[in-house]
Amino acid sequence: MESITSTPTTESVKYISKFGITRQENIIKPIEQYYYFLTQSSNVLFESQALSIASLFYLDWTGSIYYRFTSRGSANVTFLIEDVLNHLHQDWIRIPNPPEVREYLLLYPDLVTILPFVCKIARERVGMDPELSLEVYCDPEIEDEYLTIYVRQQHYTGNILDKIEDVRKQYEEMLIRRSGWLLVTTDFHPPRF
Amino acid sequence: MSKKYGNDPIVEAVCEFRLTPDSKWDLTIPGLVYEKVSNDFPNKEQRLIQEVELTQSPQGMQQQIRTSERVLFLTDNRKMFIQVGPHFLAINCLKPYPAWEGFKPWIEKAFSALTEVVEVERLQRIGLRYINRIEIPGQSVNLDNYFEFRPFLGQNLPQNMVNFIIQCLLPFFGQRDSCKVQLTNAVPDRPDNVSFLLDLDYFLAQPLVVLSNQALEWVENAHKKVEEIFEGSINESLREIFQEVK
Repeated sequence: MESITSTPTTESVKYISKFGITRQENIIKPIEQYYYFLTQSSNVLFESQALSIASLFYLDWTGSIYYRFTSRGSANVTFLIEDVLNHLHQDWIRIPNPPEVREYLLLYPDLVTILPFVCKIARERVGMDPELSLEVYCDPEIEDEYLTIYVRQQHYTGNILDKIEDVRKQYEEMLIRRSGWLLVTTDFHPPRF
Repeated sequence: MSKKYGNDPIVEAVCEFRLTPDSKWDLTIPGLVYEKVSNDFPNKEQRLIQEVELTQSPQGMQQQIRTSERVLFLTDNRKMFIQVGPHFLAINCLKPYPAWEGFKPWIEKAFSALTEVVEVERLQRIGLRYINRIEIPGQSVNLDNYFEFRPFLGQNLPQNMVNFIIQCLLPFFGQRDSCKVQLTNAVPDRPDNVSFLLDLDYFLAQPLVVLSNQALEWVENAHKKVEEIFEGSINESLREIFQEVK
């Protein structure tokens, strides 16, 4: 296997460090393997033997790094949205109204890649029992709307708001410079599903 | 698609052009393109794109992560937009798809705008991609009844699936072009439906073999191929759901 050097300098790498995954080989090895696969495939030609990754990587439930590779033809916006929603759906994030979530993410696509991060830390903090429901909240008074992850459970204890506050602290920094908004909260309703 | 459907599944169509890395490019170019398309695409936005570049060097493989900026020019309803970034132009069309006759003129207009402000001799890459989200009524469906492109599980394997992804890379014109065909499950709009994503990504696999003045002809031929692959991937049951207009 070839040795690898890397120059990780971006915001995303900071996030990975922030979430405690700092060993470079953990990040690079799957990339290397994927690259090997691509270059062995004679039909795949990449500009300067390079491939681009739209929306670099995000963490899945289990905390492992989840890569989303696309070829140089990565100009679309819907595929990543569909991929992330599918991923969340399979991990028991409820999405009661997928069309309105899709519409919101099309308007604010830079939120797509942090959604799995936020769902992961929310699940870790509140546990497996509460329902997490991804919805678009519309505030009729000021014509504002934003993505909301509702934490819902059968019986509410005093510390649920503390847990939610902990979650918010972990992701709020990520919302800086992003066009849309994402809130983790509860409406104190029982689970709907 | 030249077959017309009243309920077509296209959620996004994208046509992209990538110029060679050595072609002239500077920061004024997006603004010059905007001047030529602003009547139809009056709204401007900037987006950050993250890319990882892996390059083989004598010292081994090198990874570089970088962020670049793209400018978007959008129609008023935001359903169509042009993306311009370094050595790159794409035109995206979101649902509702206006049929090829409605999309093609915008591809021509955007590409013409680019070639009027930048000298383009050959194309590094051209791509035409259609992303279809297919909704089928029912809690579970037999894929054999709807798709001619589908996963196959042998008799000795369980036949139920909760998740799958299949992908093929099909060569065309002696491997000058390729089409990545992918089918995977998706989140349905309604809880009593199942949903699938059929992604057809047709692209120029051999860089530099298409001249600038041949690019639109390449796109026209690519569309014909994509159409054939789409029709070849589905069967009559899906055509009924899509409500073919004859």
